[in-house]
Amino acid sequence: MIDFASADAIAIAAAVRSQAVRAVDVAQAAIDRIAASDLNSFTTVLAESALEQAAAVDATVAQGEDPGQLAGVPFAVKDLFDIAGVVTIAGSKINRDLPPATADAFAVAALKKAGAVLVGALTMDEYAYGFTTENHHYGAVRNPHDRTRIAGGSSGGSAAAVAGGLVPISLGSDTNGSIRVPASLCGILGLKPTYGRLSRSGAYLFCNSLDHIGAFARSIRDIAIVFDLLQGADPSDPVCTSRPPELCSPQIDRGLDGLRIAVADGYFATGAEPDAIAAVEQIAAALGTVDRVTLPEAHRARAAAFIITACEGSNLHLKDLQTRPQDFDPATRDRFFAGAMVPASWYIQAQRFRQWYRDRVRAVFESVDVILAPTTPCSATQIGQEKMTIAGTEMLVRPNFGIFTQPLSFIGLPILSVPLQSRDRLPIGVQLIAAPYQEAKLLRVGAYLEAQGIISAAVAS
Amino acid sequence: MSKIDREQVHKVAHLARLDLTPEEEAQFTTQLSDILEYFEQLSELDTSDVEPTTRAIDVSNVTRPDQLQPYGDREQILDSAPDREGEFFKVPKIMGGE
Repeated sequence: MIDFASADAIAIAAAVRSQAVRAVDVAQAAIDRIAASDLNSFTTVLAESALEQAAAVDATVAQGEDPGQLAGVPFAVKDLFDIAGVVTIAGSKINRDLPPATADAFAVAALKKAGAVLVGALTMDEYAYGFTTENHHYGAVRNPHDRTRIAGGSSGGSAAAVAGGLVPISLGSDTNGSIRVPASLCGILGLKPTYGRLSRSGAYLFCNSLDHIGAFARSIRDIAIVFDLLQGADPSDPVCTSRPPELCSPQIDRGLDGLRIAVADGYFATGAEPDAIAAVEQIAAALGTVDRVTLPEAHRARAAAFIITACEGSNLHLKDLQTRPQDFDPATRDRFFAGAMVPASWYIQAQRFRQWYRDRVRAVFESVDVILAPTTPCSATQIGQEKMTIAGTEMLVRPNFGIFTQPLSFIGLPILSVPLQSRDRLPIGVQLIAAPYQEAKLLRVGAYLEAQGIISAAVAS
Repeated sequence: MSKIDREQVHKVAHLARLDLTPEEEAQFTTQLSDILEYFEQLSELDTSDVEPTTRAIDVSNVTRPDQLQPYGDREQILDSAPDREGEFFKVPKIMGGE
């Protein structure tokens, strides 16, 4: 009998397709696990519609028709994705005043079309502005590995739900690290694809020039299938690429042949706790790489990403900042307010630097295919903890979990965060970074590491 | 290093129509000074010959070329606006007055 809580999406779909299990039983088991969970990862549970959808999958199977590649697989999405009939709250109080969404987001519709069963929406930092998912309105998401610790953010619910075995796959968004940071702290896989590779249509955006959507999972093959299903042009998201999809699932077992792999030094090799650095070295050793590369001026890239985020985010919410500032989460309001007062010349200088930096990094990828760097400077901190000490320097928790993620999403590179586990320590992630549209290379490296037993994402008990 | 003072924050907040308490003005003076430090990091680098980008990755063909198409009924266009004055669209006053 399949263990629904620990099986990956592909295993569940195979069982449903072969009628070894019924999709309604899989869905009911997920709903029961969510109801019994203390992680605070869900803001909305869609039990009734999930069971209806699952029954439809079972009917399709019974008729001998194709129910889709993710037949009967329960999934959930960060609550900034539109779900038809549900208000998209984006972690806020303010958006509760909006009417319910009239249609599913592009990505939600694509997964449903493949037979996956939507069971609910997941807790996040307000308007995706944060790295901790300690939401003033909806509470803190708990880390499944240690309930007293944060899950990371802003897609904290998306990571905790997968790491805690509530659903095998989930969707999140990443502006400065919001998929990779919680993936690292919760010990699972998180893929932030190339900017513009996946349609964001129907997702409540935060910062248009930096926003990506992506997936969480516990196996490489699950990450690959979700990514493959979501690829494709969509005119309703003007930045979504018209490049033809490049399917990754058929490529993940190709091994490391021909891949040049190096560790990022300089900025990415300092300013982290020893376990973060050790994690990168452990991956490098497993891949047999000793090469080092430098991404120039990464600290400035982080500064520029910070400015662009504050400006674009505050512009989006300016009206509410003017008329109902008291309704924001105090933690996000402060930064939105500050962003609303930044001079235009600072913003334009940040965009100018972005062009410069992108050209320099592109040159680095002429000699390397995949770069390794820490995902977070340390493992999960305590819920409510305001300051942490990283490499001997005391700093605020909230803005600093993204020091290694921000300079990379800033120029839209595809990145997979892979989890390292150990018996007596909390999990931590390592970023695998490639040139734009080279997701398949990341997944090949991930699959190799998974097969070697170096990375793993077992459900936290 | 130049710093931002409270008076500047007060002025900018007013221009942005943000209603800040004196405590918040003090708090954002510090926050904006932090952001200014980020900006100064960027200014240390010579990027004067680089065009700014607006995307993480540049996307082409996101807009179609403008196509001029004459429309015969001028009155109907003017009448379609919420408010008009003679042969002009009338819009709410947005500048001056304060």
